[in-house]
Amino acid sequence: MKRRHNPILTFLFAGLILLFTGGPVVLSLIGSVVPDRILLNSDAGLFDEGINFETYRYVFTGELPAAYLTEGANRAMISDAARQVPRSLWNSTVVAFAAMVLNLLLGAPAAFLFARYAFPGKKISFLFLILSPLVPTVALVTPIYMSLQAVGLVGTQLGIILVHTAKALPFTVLILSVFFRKMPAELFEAAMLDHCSRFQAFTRIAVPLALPSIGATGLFAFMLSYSEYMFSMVLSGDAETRPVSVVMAALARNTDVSWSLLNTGIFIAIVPTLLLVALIWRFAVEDLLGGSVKG
Amino acid sequence: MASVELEQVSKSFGKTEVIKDMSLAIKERELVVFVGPSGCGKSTLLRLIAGLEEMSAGTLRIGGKVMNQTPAADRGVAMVFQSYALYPHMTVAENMGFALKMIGTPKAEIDRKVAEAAEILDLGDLLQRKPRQLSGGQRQRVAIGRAIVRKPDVFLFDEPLSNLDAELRARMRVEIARLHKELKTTMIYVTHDQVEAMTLADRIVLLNKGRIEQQGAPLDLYEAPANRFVAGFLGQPRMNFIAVAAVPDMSGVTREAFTLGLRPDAIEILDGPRPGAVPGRIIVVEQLGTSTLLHVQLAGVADLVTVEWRGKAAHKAGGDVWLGLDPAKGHLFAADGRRLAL
Repeated sequence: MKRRHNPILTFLFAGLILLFTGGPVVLSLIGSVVPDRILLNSDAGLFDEGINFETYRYVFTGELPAAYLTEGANRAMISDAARQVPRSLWNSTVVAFAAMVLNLLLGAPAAFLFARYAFPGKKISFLFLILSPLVPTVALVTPIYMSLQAVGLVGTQLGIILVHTAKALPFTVLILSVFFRKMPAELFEAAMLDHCSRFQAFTRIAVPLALPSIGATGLFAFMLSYSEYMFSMVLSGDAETRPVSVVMAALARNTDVSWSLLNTGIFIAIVPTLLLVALIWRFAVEDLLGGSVKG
Repeated sequence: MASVELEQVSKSFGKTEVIKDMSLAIKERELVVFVGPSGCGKSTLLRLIAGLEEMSAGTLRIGGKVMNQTPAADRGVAMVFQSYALYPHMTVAENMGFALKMIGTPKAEIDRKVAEAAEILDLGDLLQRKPRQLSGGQRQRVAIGRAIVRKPDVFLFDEPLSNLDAELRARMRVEIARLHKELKTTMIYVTHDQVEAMTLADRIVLLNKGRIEQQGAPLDLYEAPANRFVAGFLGQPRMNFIAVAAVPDMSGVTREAFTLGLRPDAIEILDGPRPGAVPGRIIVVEQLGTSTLLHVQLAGVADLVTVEWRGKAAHKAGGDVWLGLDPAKGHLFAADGRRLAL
């Protein structure tokens, strides 16, 4: 007999997961619209003074929140770093998008070859690819910095894009090769008989069929780059090229920072990823579950 | 249309030799069926002809031209796969026209040829559907249509009906036979189903363990099997094999031990004992409608003997019967499986 699962337990665990993933987002949203004096005053109710968007205004226009214009206010709590958030957001989006595109352009054909063809050195190169993420990032910072310095890419977006691409590539190849391997071999034999070259079999058969997984993998590469901190910090130059993760760290490192401002920065930084997830995820997951590969 | 010739072809996967030194000539317009148990090499042989596998040794000629090094697409063959292998993201029309599109055929001509093939197969209403919106039988017809559109010299079918239910399989069998008459093309058809082989083939090539056991017209193989394997493979229900020990016959000459092969319809059910009759007990009765299969236990025979009974009298499991086993209606096989003269 099949054991019936307990719906209450399911909800409990789902609720716990939601609390851990969605909770911080909600907290940062609330924190960003409630003034500091309320946030830091345990006696006051959270919404006693209603909500305001003064910190958002400051981030985008530079106009100080009213409370910090009064005499005696600690002006230093309004960190200049917050003013860099919009620009860094754009920087990060450019970098992450470029890393995603490069990942798919390089990773998808590689995954297809690994999945469907035998070639000399296949095993060892795949092993190398899979094991490379095991090297701690910290150990790579110096050699990569020196390499990029030698070719003059330190302090440029291109440098960060290349490093982020390299970091995500093993995952891209691994995930996509699993999908390509799952496709029936007869499909590609039929394509071969239908005058397709290997490359055409890839572009005309494999890619259209793997589109949902390619979307999901691309999203993964995007998020990996978007949230990457170590290389972003070491390789980025001035505010012109600084990605959002670096700016956020600068904001958070300031012990006297305005909580409201920090939360504003956090919430703004989440938005691009949320947008992308909303766009790609639904279609990716639906198609994965729908089994589009089945003839 | 074209002839297909294999000359001393071998194929090994690593150390396993799947096709052993095989020679075979298929005439133009012939419908040849490769049949055999799973693992006999029949699919591999088809894939060698298609160019999906490379031969380890030997020569392959299609239409008189050596094709050993020719890429699959340029051999003038079209293949219908067991899983149909339709492109899931393309419509039926796109599936069928894909090969032509890949060699740069003008769109108008593709459309015309697809429409032509669709008409032959009665697919006209389905052209804009995707494969997942089709039933198994429809997918099968699209797969055949995709082959027809290419106007190949040789059609290759790799167990095309094995994913269909029994009724559909019977219908598609007739359809393929009709297509062969209509298209007048050489066809090579692989199946493990001996009914398909018997009904479709101009010539059956019966394979076992990478070798040809026997080839010829279906009825020739049925009536004069070269050995015990062929006799046992063709015919439904299967031939009964009864081991006969080496005993001296009436003239005192001891014949070697042999096996008597009797088809179920060659065994008589007698009313009572008579010289040469053998008693047995009915273990299982299978009613087929037009006939009844009796599975009978004979004394000293390990396997049950199957008897096809077309008479009216009802037989019940557990009952006793007398069977008339007439060697003249059967085949004798030596211990090594080779056929013996009666």
